Amino acid sequence: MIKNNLSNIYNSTKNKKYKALLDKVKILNKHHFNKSAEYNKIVKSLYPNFEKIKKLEKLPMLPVRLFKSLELKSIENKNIYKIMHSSGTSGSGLSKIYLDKENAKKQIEVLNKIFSSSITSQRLPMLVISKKPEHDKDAFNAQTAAILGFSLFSKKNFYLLDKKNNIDLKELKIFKEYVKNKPFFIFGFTSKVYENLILKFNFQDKFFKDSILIHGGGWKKLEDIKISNREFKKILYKKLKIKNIYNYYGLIEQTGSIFIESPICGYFHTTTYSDIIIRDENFNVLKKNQKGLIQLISSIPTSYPGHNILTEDLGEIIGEDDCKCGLKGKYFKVYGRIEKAEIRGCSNFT
Amino acid sequence: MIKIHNINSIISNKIKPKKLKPFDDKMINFLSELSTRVTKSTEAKKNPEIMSFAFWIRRNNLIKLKKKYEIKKLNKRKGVGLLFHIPPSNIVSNFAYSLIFGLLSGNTNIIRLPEKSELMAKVLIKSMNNIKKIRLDISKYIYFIKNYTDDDRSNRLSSISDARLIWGGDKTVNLFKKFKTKKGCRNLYFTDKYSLSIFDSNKVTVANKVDLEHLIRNFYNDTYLVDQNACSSPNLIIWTGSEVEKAKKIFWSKLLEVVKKKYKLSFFSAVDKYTSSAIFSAKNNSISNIINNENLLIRIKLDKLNYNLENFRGKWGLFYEFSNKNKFKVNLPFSKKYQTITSYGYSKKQLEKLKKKSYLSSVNRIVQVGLSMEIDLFWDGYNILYKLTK
Repeated sequence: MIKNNLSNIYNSTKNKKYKALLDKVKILNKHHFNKSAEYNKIVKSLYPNFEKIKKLEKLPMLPVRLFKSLELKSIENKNIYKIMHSSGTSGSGLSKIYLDKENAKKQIEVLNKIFSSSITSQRLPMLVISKKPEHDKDAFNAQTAAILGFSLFSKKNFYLLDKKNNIDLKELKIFKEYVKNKPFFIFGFTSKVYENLILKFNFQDKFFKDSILIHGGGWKKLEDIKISNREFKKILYKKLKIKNIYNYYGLIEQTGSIFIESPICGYFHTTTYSDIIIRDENFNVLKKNQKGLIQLISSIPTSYPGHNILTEDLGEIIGEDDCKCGLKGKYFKVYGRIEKAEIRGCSNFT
Repeated sequence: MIKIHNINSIISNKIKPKKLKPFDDKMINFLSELSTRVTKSTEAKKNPEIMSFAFWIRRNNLIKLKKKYEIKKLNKRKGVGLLFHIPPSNIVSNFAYSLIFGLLSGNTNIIRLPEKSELMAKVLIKSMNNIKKIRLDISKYIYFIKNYTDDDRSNRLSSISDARLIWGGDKTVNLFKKFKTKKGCRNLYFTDKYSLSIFDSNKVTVANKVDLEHLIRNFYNDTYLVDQNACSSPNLIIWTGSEVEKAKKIFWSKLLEVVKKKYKLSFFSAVDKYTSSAIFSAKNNSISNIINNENLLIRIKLDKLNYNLENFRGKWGLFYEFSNKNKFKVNLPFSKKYQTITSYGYSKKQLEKLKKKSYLSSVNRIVQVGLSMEIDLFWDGYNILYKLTK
């Protein structure tokens, strides 16, 4: 499905890409340094010589949890167009991502490019593995954000679940009649796809055979029940004959510059908008084939300082520019969240 | 036989609590015998937490504690009856010290065992059951129960207790405040606390190699050993005297050497420390600098002390530090949450002076570095034995 003619976002090689991204990130640093008082203070105290830094991997990165503790924005309040919220597993609240119109537009543009280059530029009807989101202009969560984001590529949305999160057979029937035998998208959070298409969907159905499934949002739940990405795909093929399955990885803090798993190699690939760095516990940069903390760089965020983020996910870079699938850039695997440390001490009773 | 009991049988069997005088001789004999047996056990040799507990209940220490207590003031009193201990889940040996509070005050004890403490409890139970020559049916004073999570059992156990010792910080305390208790039930609440260290820089710079190693090891035990999570672990270091910069250099570089050798840094703690220092920087205007040694040791230099310090907690090796030329007058903001000050380079007399000049009357304990975890019968402002007797 990869369309090489469109994949210029995947064809930039190491040195060229590094230089281009470094320049962009430096500009973004300066921008946020001037516009966000918090970012300014953090950088000044954690990176006292930051103006002299010449390497991408040495530039200031913000820990992802900061977006839950602080209101980080590089725009004036009157220019806030949308606030995105995400819930976290660490229980420390919601992260708040402040978007102005320009940044929101840029997210859509980039998402569009990545989607078209990686999957298809066709607009198809989309079966969303979720209930219909209730629209709230000011705030929406990660799932709603993802649904709305990916709806760009949908000709028309249908929602598989009813308000009580049960499979809505009536809606499914309507959907089937609508698409007839033509291809369509299925979109959902990985855990929702698993719950509904694998566990609850109790019949084999050839209807899905030409569909394109796009899913993301974490393997945590699947890891708990010990299902690998490969098995996940196998079951979906066996049961519903779904062949085209795309896993995506991204942060709500960096909406737009997502990573889509290449169906040929099974790895996530960076694009010209993004980069990944893997670090050890001391934050030393690790080489390929070493498991560590994922740091993600995105050239998109302008209305909030989310362009260089240290995540709480573990991953591993497999290689760069030499993937058998033909795409350039770094290709990598994601292992899921870091484990919460055991707390030794007399507080924090559980 | 002492054992881990079934909770329901404890509730339905209606324990008739036994009472003794505080520091009853039979109890002291029992505990010092326990100390001897546990010290010799192979488990204790492998496990420093068990060993230091066994050492704490040795006869000499119990007698020292008794003397300190001016026993006369207590000798017409007896234990209140049945105690319910809710120890914290994460300090393995805390349950044992809480139990000793109960035994020395002459009470019968129900101890809810955190999962992590089970192993240590089993070691103690085995030794306890082997003590034959003491004329005291100790099994009538100690009832261990397994950990559980439901409120119902806490409620029922609370309702039969004459006193409760609730550890585990504000969250647990607030939860247990909701449960019904007997009229007159005494509650010892161990809430969230804030602790710090005060070091005389002039003494650090002249310390010889052995003293310095000792200081570093002790400080490590107060902090890194428990990830700075104990309420008595220092979050803030106040450096006094005229050699602050030199002392800091010596102290932190030596500490870092030890940390590199002994401390296992996890991804989670590294990220957590980094996040904390970023949050601190974002929220405050006047930080001089933050020094991060490979995430193993992060130091945040404060240029004044009038922050709300309680909000700035160090964990996993994150320290706030402040220079204070005057050795005795430190302008700590007032708080009821201070618990322990660990000191270095101060004599007893000097500590009194420090306390007076710095208005530290709200600080419960000032001890030497290394002793932050050593539990005392005066703890968190409670005169424990007085509270548990009548």
